[in-house]
Amino acid sequence: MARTLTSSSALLARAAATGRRLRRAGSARVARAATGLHRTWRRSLQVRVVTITLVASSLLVGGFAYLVADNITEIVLDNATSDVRTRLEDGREYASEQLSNHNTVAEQGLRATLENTVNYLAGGDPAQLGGVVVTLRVTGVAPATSPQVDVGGILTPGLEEAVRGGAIAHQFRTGDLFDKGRTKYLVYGSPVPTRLGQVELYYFVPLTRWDQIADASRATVLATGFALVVLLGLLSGLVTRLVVNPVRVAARTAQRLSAGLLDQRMVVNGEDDLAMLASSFNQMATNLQRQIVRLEEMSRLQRRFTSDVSHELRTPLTTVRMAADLIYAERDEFDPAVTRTAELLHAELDRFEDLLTDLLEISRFDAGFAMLDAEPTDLVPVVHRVADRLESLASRCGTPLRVTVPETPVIAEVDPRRVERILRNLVGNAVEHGAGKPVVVVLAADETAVAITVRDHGVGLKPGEEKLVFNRFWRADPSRARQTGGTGLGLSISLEDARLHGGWLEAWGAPGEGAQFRLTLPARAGDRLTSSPLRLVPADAPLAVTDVLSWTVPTPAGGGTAEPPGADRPGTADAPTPLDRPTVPTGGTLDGPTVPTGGTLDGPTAPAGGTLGGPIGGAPGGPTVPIGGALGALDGLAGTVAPDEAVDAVPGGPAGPRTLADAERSEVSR
Amino acid sequence: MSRRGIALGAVAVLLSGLAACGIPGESDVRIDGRGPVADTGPADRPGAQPPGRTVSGSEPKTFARNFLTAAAGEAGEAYKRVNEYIEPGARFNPKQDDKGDINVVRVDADSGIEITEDNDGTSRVTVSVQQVGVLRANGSVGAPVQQEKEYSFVIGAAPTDPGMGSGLWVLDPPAVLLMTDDALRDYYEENAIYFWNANGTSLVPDLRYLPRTVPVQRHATEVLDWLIGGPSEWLTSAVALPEGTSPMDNRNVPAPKQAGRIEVNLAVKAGALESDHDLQKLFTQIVWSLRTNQLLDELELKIQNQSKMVEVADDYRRDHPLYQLNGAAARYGVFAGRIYPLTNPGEARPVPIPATENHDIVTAGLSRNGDEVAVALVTRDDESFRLRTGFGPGVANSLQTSQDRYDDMSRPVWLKDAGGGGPVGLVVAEQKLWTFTAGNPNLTEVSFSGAPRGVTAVAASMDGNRIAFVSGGRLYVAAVRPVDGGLNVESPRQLATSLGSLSAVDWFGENLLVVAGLDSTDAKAINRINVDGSLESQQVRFVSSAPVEALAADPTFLEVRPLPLTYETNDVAFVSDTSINRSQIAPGAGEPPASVNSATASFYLY
Repeated sequence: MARTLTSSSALLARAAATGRRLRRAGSARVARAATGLHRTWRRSLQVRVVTITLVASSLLVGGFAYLVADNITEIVLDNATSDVRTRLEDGREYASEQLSNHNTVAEQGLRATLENTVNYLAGGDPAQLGGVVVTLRVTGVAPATSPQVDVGGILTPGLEEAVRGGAIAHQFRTGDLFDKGRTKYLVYGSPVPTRLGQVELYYFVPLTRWDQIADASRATVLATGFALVVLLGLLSGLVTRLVVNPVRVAARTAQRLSAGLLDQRMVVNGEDDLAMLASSFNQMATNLQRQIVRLEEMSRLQRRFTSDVSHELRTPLTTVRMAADLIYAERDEFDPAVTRTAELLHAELDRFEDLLTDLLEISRFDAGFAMLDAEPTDLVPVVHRVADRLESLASRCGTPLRVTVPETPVIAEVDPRRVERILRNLVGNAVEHGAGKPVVVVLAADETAVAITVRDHGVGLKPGEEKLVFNRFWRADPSRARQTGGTGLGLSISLEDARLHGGWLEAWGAPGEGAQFRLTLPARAGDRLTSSPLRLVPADAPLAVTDVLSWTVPTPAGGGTAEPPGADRPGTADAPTPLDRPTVPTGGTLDGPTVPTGGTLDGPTAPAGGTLGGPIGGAPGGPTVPIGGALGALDGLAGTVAPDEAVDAVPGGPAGPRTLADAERSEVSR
Repeated sequence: MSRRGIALGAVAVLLSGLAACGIPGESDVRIDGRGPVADTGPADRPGAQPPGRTVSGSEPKTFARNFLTAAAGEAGEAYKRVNEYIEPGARFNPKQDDKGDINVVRVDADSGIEITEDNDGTSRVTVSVQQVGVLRANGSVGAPVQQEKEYSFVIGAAPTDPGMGSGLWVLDPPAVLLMTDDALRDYYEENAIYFWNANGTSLVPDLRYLPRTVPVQRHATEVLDWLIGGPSEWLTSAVALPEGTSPMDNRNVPAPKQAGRIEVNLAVKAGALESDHDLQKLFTQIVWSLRTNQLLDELELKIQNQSKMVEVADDYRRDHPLYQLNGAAARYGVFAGRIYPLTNPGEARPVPIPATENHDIVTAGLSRNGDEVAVALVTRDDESFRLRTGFGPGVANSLQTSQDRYDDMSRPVWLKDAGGGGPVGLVVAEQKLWTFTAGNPNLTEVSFSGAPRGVTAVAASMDGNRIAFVSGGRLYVAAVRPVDGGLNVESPRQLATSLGSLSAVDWFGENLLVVAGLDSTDAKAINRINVDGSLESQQVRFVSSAPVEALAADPTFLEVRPLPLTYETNDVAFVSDTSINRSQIAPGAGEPPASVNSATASFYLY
């Protein structure tokens, strides 16, 4: 019994599920169609204009057609009514004359008179005279009707009552008097003055002819209206096409322009408004092209300058390095103060070298020289290697480092050097900001992608910082500027590396909840990422907070059509377009490195913070100005970063002793 | 999407609205206004009609008398009316084509109806009748077809049947519809209609009877129907309307409105009424036939809905008289073989023969047509009689004398306008009917069939198309038609009179005769009788038994005041029961010999 119940309920459930599925499928089809229509409506100006024209003209023409048809019907009806009325009055006159022979209903000849009268009034042969039926009704005598048909079905008591009351009245009725199908009749009645008593005369006039006239005129009006609407639709389509086509050409041209084909121009035909638009557009394109070429040239010069400067700095730096190494090797022989200076010099030189290396690296990216050297690589050893390398730093910071990797090898076509660099950066950062709490590295993979997340439980990121962390020389806490960590280019370089792979590098963080970085790479080089095997937002994150604060920074290769994991959150829709990002750091990159070139060379002994901050804040008229000014249009971040650091630089001096400890802690470059 | 939906909906509504705005299939009653209101004047009361069964009381004789009037009324419902008297089981069940011809019988008021009471409470009624004629649906009275002199039927209370009501019933009716002549007199109106004679020279009156129940508004319709139905059978000299003439669309002739114009709308066969003359003849015929119509003021004749003639009836009748009468009739008397004009009453006119010829005259027949006077004189030549005729304007100056002599000769009569070639005269001589003309006094015997030989008197109607004669003591009327100078007397019709041994006859009106004979008590009497014999009434009754030898009447009293009847008996002429004496001779007309006191004959010139 229970089994039966279960099975039947299961059947029911299955049926319900099927129904739901069908319903869902149906509504899905409708929804799809609606979406398609909606898209068409939104996308095509022509469709919109034609539709609006059709609807508006239909309403207008329909209204007019209604008026006209109504008017015609009215006229036809008036015609018919007055026609029949005239007939009725003539007939009444005649009937009155004929009945004047009789004084009482009992008279013998009355019946014959009645019949003769209706026969005459009906005109004899009904087939020839359009089926007019005439009835004379005398109270107390059987009614006389010609032709002899039963008019009871058409003559209503209301009309009879009205006529009996002495009124001339009429009514439209539909009925079948001759068994030839239903016909519209105009029933007209009038009292007949006689000495007999109450006599009523009724005419039943078929309106076939008038109906045909009304129908024909209505059909004509309808056809005309329809033709007019169609014509208007065609016309509006044509006109819109005339206007929209050049606009489309302009849009295509603009698209090509924006795609970089700067020499695209519109064809200018004639002298009308569209020609003016085309020529204006062309002028604009020319101006833009000139400007862009100029800017590109400038940018190229800048990159080259950075590259050149970095290269040129290497040679003296090598010399200085050798000298400093010598001094450092002999530091035990100096007095303690000098020893300390030698050590400091050595450490700063390391940083300087790192900085130069990073600058060179990033300038390679900027210059587009970075090449991906992808090969099938098992990422598990890579992750282990990085963890092992940073184990000492982790233990120094008191931060437990945990690694979770699949048991099977995770093979992906990647450039292991770059992946390792990314991981080093991420894990190093996590350890550095981990505040002694565990750092977890997780590696996972599916068919299309591999992902590595690095989770720390440090101070986390403030809202909006998820995006900023990838900016060049950005720091979460300005007070710690340049005193800890690396060069400030680490995450930027990592991001460029990830982008070079066609992968994503994303950050999540919340104040007090720590942060998580996720690297997602396609399993095969050149594939497009659609999803990540790991979630960006850690499972232990407070949901409400993540909803608001999480950020997705898709790389250009991965951005666009596909949504990264966690895209089910509303914040994703607001993710910056791929075009937003590259330009901003570029400014920062160009801006930042150029500053120290003047400053650091002037005084190598100056504290690091002061050295870097000073010239930025204090030398607004320096070499940075023309560059910053030139890039003003593109520069959003650099302008804001520089003053912040200038403000920081003021307390930079007294904070000198602190900087050593910071320097020691910042062995892992950021 | 929703905007588009709204727009599409609006379009759909418009289109459906457009499709709906045709001629409605159904609608409310729409009042156009007040219709015309009938004249609220009191409806004319229907004319007299015979009493019904329930008001006939329980006296068997009265009931029987009423039963014999029951058929009076419109022809189509005669059976219905009579059946109301008859116990349901015995009622007439007329055939479809039975038009309800009624046998008119003359019943003696006193002795005609005898009641025999039976033991079972019923009464047997025995009615002694004289068959007068048959009243047909067209209002004419034809010769009688029944021969019975006695009818009997049973009246009594109905057999016990709760649904039948009280009163007497006719339990065993006679086999035919009977109506007394009294009923004809009481419930019908005499109405003469006119037909043209064969030559189209004069109108022949045709007497019809219109039930008094027919409202005056329908009078014209009935008359027109009669006209279209053609003349009575015996009027063979009369000509029916052109064949195919009928009321347009079977219409009634509408009762006239305030203007009193009666519209007669006729459909005629194509080509039947081509000339204005034909049209005028038709109009004349109709306007005279409608003479008694009180509503007629103007008559409009329409042919096929086209108005052809409109005339004021009285004026038209004055301009187109029925008879060429020139003034009132004049009376003459014969004193000692000479004709003297008489006055008192009447206007004296000079004697229309030369004084030199005014001698040896027994009697004369004078006729006037305009100024033309035709004279026929019966002169005594020894013991025989000769006829002298002549005509001329005012006075017939040259008189011709017949070659033959006759043993006896009655007063000659003239047929007016009987045909071309002047008037034709008729005279009875030696018990034969003879004809002569104004130019030729030699008599030609008129042969006819259908009546016995032995003609004793003849009279000619004013229209000249009908004669009445007494043959074998019985009265006949016949239509006459001139043929090649002679005369055809066609199908004489005997009229039933209550008088016997008739001796003299004359026309006393268009459709009225006076006839002299002996009544049932063998008393000498002069009765008036309709030309169809249906109605008879006593004019004069004498105690003496000497037969009336001649009657002379002025039939023109329709138009002027009637002049009295004159008659001759025992060679003395009487007027109004007194002999015509010399004091009545117009002054200046000369004096008859003193010995001659009274006129031997008297006659009228008209």
